[in-house]
Amino acid sequence: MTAHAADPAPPLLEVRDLVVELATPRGPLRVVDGVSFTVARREVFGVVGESGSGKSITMLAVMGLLPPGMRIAAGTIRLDGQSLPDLDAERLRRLRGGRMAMIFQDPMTSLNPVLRIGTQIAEAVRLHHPDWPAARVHARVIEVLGLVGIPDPARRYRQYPNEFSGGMRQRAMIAMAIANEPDLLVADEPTTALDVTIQAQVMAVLAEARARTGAAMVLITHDLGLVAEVADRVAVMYGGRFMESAAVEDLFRVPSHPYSVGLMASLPRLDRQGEALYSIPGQPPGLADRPAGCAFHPRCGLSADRADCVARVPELRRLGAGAHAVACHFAAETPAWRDSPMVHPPAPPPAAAPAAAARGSGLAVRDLCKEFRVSRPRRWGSDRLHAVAGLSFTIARGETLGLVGESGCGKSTLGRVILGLHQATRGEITLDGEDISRRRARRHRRRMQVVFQDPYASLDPRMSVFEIIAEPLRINGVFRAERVAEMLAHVGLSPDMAERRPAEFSGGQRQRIAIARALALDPEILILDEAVSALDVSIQAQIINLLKGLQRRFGLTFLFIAHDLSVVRHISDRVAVMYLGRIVEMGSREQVFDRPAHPYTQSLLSAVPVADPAARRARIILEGDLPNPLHPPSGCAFRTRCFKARPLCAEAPPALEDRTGGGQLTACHFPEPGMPAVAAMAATRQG
Amino acid sequence: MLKFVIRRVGQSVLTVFGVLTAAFFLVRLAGDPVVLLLPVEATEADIALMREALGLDEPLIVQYLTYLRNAAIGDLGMSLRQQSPALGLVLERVPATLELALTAFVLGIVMAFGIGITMRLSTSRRLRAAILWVAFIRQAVPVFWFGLLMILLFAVHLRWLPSLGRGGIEHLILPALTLATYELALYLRLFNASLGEEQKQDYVRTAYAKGQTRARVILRHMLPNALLPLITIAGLNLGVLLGGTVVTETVFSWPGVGRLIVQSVSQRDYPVVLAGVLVISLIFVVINLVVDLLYAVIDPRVRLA
Repeated sequence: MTAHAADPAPPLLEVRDLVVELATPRGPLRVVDGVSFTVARREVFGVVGESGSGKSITMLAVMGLLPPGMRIAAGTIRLDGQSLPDLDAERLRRLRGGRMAMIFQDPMTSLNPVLRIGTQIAEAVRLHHPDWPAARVHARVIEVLGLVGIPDPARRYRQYPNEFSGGMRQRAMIAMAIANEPDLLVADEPTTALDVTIQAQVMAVLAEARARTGAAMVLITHDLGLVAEVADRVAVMYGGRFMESAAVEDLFRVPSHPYSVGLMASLPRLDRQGEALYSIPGQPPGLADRPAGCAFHPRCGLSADRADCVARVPELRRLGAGAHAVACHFAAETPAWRDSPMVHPPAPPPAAAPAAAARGSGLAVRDLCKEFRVSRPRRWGSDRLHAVAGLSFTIARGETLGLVGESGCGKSTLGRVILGLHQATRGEITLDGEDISRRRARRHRRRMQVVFQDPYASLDPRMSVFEIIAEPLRINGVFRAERVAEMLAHVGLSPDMAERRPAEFSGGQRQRIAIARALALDPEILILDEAVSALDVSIQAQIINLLKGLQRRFGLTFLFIAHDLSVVRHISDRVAVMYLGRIVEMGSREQVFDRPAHPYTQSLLSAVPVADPAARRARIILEGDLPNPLHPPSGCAFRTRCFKARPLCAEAPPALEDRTGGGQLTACHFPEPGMPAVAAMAATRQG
Repeated sequence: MLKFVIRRVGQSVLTVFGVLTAAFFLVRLAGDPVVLLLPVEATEADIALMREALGLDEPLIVQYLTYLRNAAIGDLGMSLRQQSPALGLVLERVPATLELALTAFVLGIVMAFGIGITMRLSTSRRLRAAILWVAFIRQAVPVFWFGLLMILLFAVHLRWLPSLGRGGIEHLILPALTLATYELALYLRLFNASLGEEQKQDYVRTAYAKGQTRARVILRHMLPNALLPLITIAGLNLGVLLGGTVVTETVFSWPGVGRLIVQSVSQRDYPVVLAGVLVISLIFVVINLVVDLLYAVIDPRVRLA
């Protein structure tokens, strides 16, 4: 049973023993399996879990928005004492969007593309205030648009979703949700689709909106950092059940379920580095094959298949007098296991760098430019888009260069140009001193391979795994069946899986297949374009450890392109930060992460939520969106969002040079190594 | 928007030019018209004279350029069989084809729209399955056979309606229904599929989360989005209807363009064939232009592209 917080006031939301079933031809499957929790007024309750854990379905059940085929099979849901499943459809409908409102993950698809933004928000207002005259509805929409920080709301009212950036759309979604001052806000991965600086903006808007309306919030997310920064209490969900539920400080200080411990140990951290990641073995179970007993036992590092874990479902029980509750038969043993070397594997020895260096000088990029012609909407002619605007860097043999930046900064284009998938407009790419940027360089392709972000889209669904891995070997005339089996073994897959098709594998396994394909030709350089971004935390740790192992083993050179700074810190030797097609800062990972000198790097680092509630801090929130890359600002491209911008920044673009000594390159007229104090910065912005 | 319109009109002109060129050379592949036009006992001299009279003695490229120049001012030459301008013969038939095609099209689309929305609003799965089943059966039946059945039932047995020719509204009913039910079946299945696709979209869930009613989610949110694919197919299909309801026109002896072209091809009356092809391609191109503009009106994303 859920532990109650010791407060006398009745909770706003009370969910007890909720069971949600999915009807299938082979009988019902339990998607949510006996979940109980309460949410107090004004409280933020976080629900963390990986995909398929049932976290979204739990809250969709509360909202009465279960997808077809699913139904509430047992349990009670009370909002302010009123039982929601007992309401008829009409009365439940009136509560939705009124007293309880929901914000969804993907603002790109959650708004209707053919209706104006204002119309869609007005619809929500009118539904719950049918007596309001049109002028009052209109005024309210303008008011909430202003409240969520959308500039020029009267003009934005008349625009369509495709005229809004991702961050602006999510603001519009929030405006829609708070328009009727709900008591309960359900936010389902509200910032997962957004860049980190935009995420920081949106979370600030959400906090402001909650402060104004006094709404309680249920935050559903896979992001432990976000929960640590925002939530008051947290539940960890796995296999349709709550594994642990606690005040946020307690959960992060003393995680007490082996799953929570594993999640936290497998998370790369922005504030730490060096140690190897713990990785929870195996895959999260599908709905149809949830294990009996404790759903987590096959992957548990503590259980080792003890009889109790296999036979009995553990109840969620309080640990002590407080509200910390854990669903584990052996919770008493967790503390000792938590601090053992099993959970904190020692860092592996560094790669044998000298041997690798002997093979050549590595990859060098000089003054590389890539322009695209973009036809102008509503006008004649075309503009040049400088996706990559004069980059120079080198990656030594066996080294990992992390390339970070927000969407649209040109990092993926850069990867494609290096691979030869795009022809460079200007500049030079050399591999061991040999120019590979010209067309005839096709024969160099096999020396560089790539792994893409989406393992669902980047593998041909009609080919067997064997054919997928064999294809590059056949193209280059070096096919041997044993090589395919060997590659599968390298990435931790069994060779007897070779005849299956990608659809039969989970996301993590597919990414292993993609890595096997990339390594089949024994390349020297691997370009990893967001290769772990689409994976759940526990799987992400497996793939990162796999990549690091393969790098050591084969002396591989990595260009690791990612937007997740924590992962980049974990895996990289050196780091380059990109903004609007240019590198703004580059150095060793310690330099870039511990003593960033460029205001953009500082803002990015400050925007990342850290999975430690004790480290909650004020953050630099960049204003506005990325400028239109077709018309970049004069001088320093970052100046329009920079808290330090001065007149010089508009006049001259700063060169990327060593401004602080020690080899760290920074493209800023006013570099100051180290994280600035936020208070001082706010003053600068006003002054 | 203006740039979009101008670009689309430019593309349309190119398309018509392409059709004119292709039609000219394809017709020439079909054989020498002079041999068919003259009696079997005609002498070499007669043939040469005929060729000269028709301009067929010129090199092909000169004939082609002459043809283009004349086409640009609307002169597509005289019919080889009837002593009147080819374009005039085709245009005479246009009203009959328009009457039949438009009636069938409007009937089909209006019924599809009404039945499709009713089907979605109703919560009965059986009703939907039954309607879709009937539509499927209708689509599977060939037009000529369905037309003959209609004649057999309504003209021969019941004697309610005439079976042949063009005249008052009573002549229109049977051929129009034959075509309209086919159109109905097509659009209904398409409309249902596209509504079903929209139902899965995230914005539908957003609308429900606002507290919107089911009926208004369907009518306000899903419907405009579901119309987009329907408009594309309807536009293409209207072109097909206007160009050649040949089978229906033949079964019901309807004096339309489709029948004229088929007759002219068999008689190698190539000016008439060319005129017919030109008229039909013009109609086709105009309809597609209208469809694209409609698209831009409904979907703001197209306007920017």
